[in-house]
Amino acid sequence: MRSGTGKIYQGLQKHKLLCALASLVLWQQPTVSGAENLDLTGLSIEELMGLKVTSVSKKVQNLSDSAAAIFVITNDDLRKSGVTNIPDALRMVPGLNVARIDSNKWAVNSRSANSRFADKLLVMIDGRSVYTPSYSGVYWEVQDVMLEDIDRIEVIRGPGATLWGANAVNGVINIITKHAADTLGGLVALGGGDQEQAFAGARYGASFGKNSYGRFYAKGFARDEFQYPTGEDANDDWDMARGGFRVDSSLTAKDSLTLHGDIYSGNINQLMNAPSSTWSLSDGFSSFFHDDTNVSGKNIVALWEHVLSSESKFTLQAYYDRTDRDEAFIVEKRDSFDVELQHQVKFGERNDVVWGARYRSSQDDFSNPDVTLVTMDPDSRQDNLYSAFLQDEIMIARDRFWLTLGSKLEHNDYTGSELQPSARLLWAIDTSNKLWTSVSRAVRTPSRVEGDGTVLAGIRPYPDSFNSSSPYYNPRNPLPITVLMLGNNNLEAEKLTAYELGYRFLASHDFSLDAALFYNDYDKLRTFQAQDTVFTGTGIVQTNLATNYGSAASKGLELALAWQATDWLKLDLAYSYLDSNMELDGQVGEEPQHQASLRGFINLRDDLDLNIWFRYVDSASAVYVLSQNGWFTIDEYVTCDLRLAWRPVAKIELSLVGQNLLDGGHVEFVQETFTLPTEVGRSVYGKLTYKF
Amino acid sequence: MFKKIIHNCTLAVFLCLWLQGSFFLLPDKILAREGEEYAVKAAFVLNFAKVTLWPETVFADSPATIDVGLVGDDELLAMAFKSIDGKQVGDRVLRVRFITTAGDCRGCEILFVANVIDRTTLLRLLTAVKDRPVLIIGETPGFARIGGIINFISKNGRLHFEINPQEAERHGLKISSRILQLASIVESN
Repeated sequence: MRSGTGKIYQGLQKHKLLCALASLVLWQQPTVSGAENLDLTGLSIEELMGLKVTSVSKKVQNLSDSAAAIFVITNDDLRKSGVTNIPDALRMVPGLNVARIDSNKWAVNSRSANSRFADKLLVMIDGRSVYTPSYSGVYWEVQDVMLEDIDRIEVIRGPGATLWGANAVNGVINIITKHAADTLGGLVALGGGDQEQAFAGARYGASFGKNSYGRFYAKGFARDEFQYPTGEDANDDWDMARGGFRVDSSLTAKDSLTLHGDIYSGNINQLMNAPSSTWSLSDGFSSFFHDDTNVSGKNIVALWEHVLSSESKFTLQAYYDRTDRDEAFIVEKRDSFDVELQHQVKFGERNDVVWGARYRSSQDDFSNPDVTLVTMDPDSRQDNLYSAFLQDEIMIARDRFWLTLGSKLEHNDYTGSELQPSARLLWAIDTSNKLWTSVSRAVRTPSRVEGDGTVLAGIRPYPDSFNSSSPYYNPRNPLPITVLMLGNNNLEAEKLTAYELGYRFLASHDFSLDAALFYNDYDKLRTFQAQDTVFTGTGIVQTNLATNYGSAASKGLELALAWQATDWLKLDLAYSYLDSNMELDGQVGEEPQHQASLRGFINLRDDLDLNIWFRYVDSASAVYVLSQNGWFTIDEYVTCDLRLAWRPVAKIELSLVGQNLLDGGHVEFVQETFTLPTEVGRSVYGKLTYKF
Repeated sequence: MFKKIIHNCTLAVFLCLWLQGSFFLLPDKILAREGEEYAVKAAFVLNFAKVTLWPETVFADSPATIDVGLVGDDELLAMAFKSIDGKQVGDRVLRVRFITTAGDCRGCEILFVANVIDRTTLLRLLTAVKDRPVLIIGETPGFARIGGIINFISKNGRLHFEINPQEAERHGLKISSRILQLASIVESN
């Protein structure tokens, strides 16, 4: 016993500085937390379980303490929803609009009208940015992980541009997989059904060496085609295989290293209705053909976290990401390299500062003589992005008011330097009521196609060329018109100033309410402006040049309610109201004004779960080049998913899932051009999960 | 011009807050309670000591103390557990000390095994105290399934714990059922 205490004090001698800092945390934390010197040793187990734990090695951000509209999808939410892919899971988030265009395409956007090419979201998987600089959007069909290994998906609606990377204008979606220490052992999940023809995934995790954990996984699926509203097959079946690993290692008590990587490859089918550049009056201006898109990619990410002291740590992350896409209208290879440093340090009791710097290089290659629909000039380009940010969270009144000020300075090859500041204020009225507000600014820099691209959007004698209200009105000229979208190197960044107000009520563990109001003021939005038409002898070329003449505003309300009604019933409600005038610029359609999601978790028995998920999406519209007036109207819909799961023994779960059960099929969205409206139909699958 | 004024004002406010940051002080009140991880764990350990019943024979050598052995050389761990050193539990006091070899744990009634130690050391240690009346507490995933009795787990930034009652019984310990109700019950692998 004497030797033990001796050892403690010997330790103290050795690390005076560290211990002095540690003692600040240990002995001053209680005074920070309360007037009476809060002695943890006087607390009961129940009280201790209610304590928020801070750890020097990881900053635990309490959800209800963030001055932003944040929603978290947990691993449990994912499993019980029965979803088989990431975008479908996002339907439970208020403020997001998720629409499945066909079997292999999704449109996802936040606080805005939707598009397959929605360009203002930042999406990250374990710190790796996955939106493509080609069009600043996300190919959702290739974003996947082992769903069972997802720890959580954090969704921040509104600008997150100060802290997060580029493109975080309308929201940030952060997909975070589990630490390798939390996925020890094996897991096999397999199943199949009508739409989900077959899927299988396996993961194995183990510990090795000193304080190291690792896992690897492999998964694959084949998904059947959807149908057109006419009942014909849409030829959009697809399959994909993927594998990866993750290693987490605590090198020392203060250093941890994470290394992870993935590789994937898939075949995506689609029936294209595309204009042909070699049109003739006899063969027509467009043709239908089958396209088998090959997609593949690989990435490797290394993250080093070093604790400098109990009040300071830094992280250094570097990754390489390669994507290949060989599609009828675009052939793209992209190599990205990204390195980011973040340093978090506390100054006294009041200032919690984070600063960081980032460099990103992205090299693309679009060269392919066979592709005429989307071309780039130059067809290969390397873009560099440099950015630095500084943010300070200041406790202005002890445990009452926090003010977060910050800004990011970014330099890109398209528009030069951009400043993105934000100010956020959080007021803890009492333990269960919190109010927050923010003003922030974010920019979206032009994508590669907006800068250097030419898109052959359509060739046709528009049936309404004699209609005076049509943009293609030209009664004297029945000749075919080639519609080109032309990029512009002088394009400026789109700008958003966002005003937000939020309220959180956390009555107990049984009930919580989260409400957010916002007003978004967009300026310099990218629009395509019709240029003078050119007569070529056999037809007319109508060029539309990318410009910054758009401006729009949107406002909305988002509600998230969670209620543990009884010990066997939990209800989760999300409601979104959105009103924008974005459609006036003609670049996107009208947003669905009302959306709701109601999830019911029913614990029938210890070994039996029933989950019900109702969704309502209001009517909307989309830009659709192939329609007569350039628009496509989407009807409102209500649908429902059901999941029944039985665990005969602890290690095995059998589940039966029915999706979109309320109707035979409904169209959720259309891609702007090239493909036909496709219905999302009713489907059923069964699944077996075995853990060992 | 107007923008510039706003900018300057913002800057001034920012600087004031940064430099002294104390002019908005409100009366203190406990709002969001929080604690450093090991300090909270130490407080948990004190509570566990209060609700565990050891066979009287273990106190033959040192009747007035409950010895807590810490495994894992970590300064923060040392600082945190200092807070429970000397605390009264019934008619005994807690004594905290570091354990470096498996042999050192003789005489300990409680072992806290930090997750900074490697798996081999962990298994050697668990073998050393196998079937002895020692309350073995850990913080490594799966700890309570491979020979540990209580294991801390972190859920949503808060600490929870798993208890393996079979293992407790094997070690001749009785843990209050009130605590078992708060815990996640696990079984050995």
